[in-house]
Amino acid sequence: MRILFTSSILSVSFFLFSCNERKPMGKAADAKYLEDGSNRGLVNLDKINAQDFTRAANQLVVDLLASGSLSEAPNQPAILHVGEIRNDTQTYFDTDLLMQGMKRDLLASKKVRISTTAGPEGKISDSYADTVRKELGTVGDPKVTQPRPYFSLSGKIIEETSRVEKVTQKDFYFLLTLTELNGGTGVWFGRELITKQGSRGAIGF
Amino acid sequence: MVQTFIKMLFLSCVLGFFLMLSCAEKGKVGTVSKKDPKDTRAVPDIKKVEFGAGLEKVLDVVRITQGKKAGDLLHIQVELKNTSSKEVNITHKLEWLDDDGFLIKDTSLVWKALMVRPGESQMIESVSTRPGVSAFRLKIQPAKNQ
Repeated sequence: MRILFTSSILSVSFFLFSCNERKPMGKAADAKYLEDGSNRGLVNLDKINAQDFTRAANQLVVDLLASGSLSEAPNQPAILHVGEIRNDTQTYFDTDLLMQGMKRDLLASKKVRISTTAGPEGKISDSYADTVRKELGTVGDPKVTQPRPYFSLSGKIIEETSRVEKVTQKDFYFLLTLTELNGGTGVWFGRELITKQGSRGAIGF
Repeated sequence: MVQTFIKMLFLSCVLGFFLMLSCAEKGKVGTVSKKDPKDTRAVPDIKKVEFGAGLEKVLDVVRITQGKKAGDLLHIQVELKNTSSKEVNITHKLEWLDDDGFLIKDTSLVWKALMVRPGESQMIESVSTRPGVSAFRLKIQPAKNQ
């Protein structure tokens, strides 16, 4: 009787266990997804976090649009060439983490069109498109237009570190320049500063 | 002995309840927007949903100013005032809505930190990155790291 009772308890337990959600043994599993731009992401002192790139991109786009520089081009929307954005910080990252968000917003504003085939050799975004266009241009295809960029956007990201006792301050400067190609002069100088201060990283802010 | 244990258990339960309550309050989000999304006046009426976590006692939305930039881009400025005697650390996020009420997914969908000193007014300013935007929602939450 006792054996029957024990075995039925065990089989019910195994059945319930098999239906239960699978969890790793040991420490409690806590991995989760965060939405883009969340305020629950990690905040590191020594690097630029995802929310920092998005914030910098947004502030720079807003500043550029508000300046009215893009509206000064005689032909609207003006063609923009995105040049080199130098990473002068101590950590490696692709500067497209900043620029792709900016390009999307600038294009959506309908104030510019972004050239992906103009630029110096080896630094063209889409070399295939450039080659095809050149080939079609040589055979005289009338559909191939040769719009010339009116503006060029370039810049750099700089990192500065200061320490007082155990507190560290990291300043990340996002500096962009918009040049009007005809005159060769800068028409907008964007500057966005992201400062982080503390003694160690945090989860969320 | 048993009575002491029961008292301790009761005290722990009460403390745990208050701890959970305080954690729940921290996650609350206050929202500020125009009363009428189609209101195009320079100073539209403010629709203010109550702030959470006690922010309503220390922050006041003084006014919203709006205009256009680069021809057709909505430009807004929200003035927040700290009415308390302590500095207030908040995070805020701006959401743009198009003429049909759809959310615009752009780089403005990011939480930004802001510190407002006692008695100080701070402006939260932005420009929509798309034409055809007529309304917005400003979400405000107390900062986690005070």
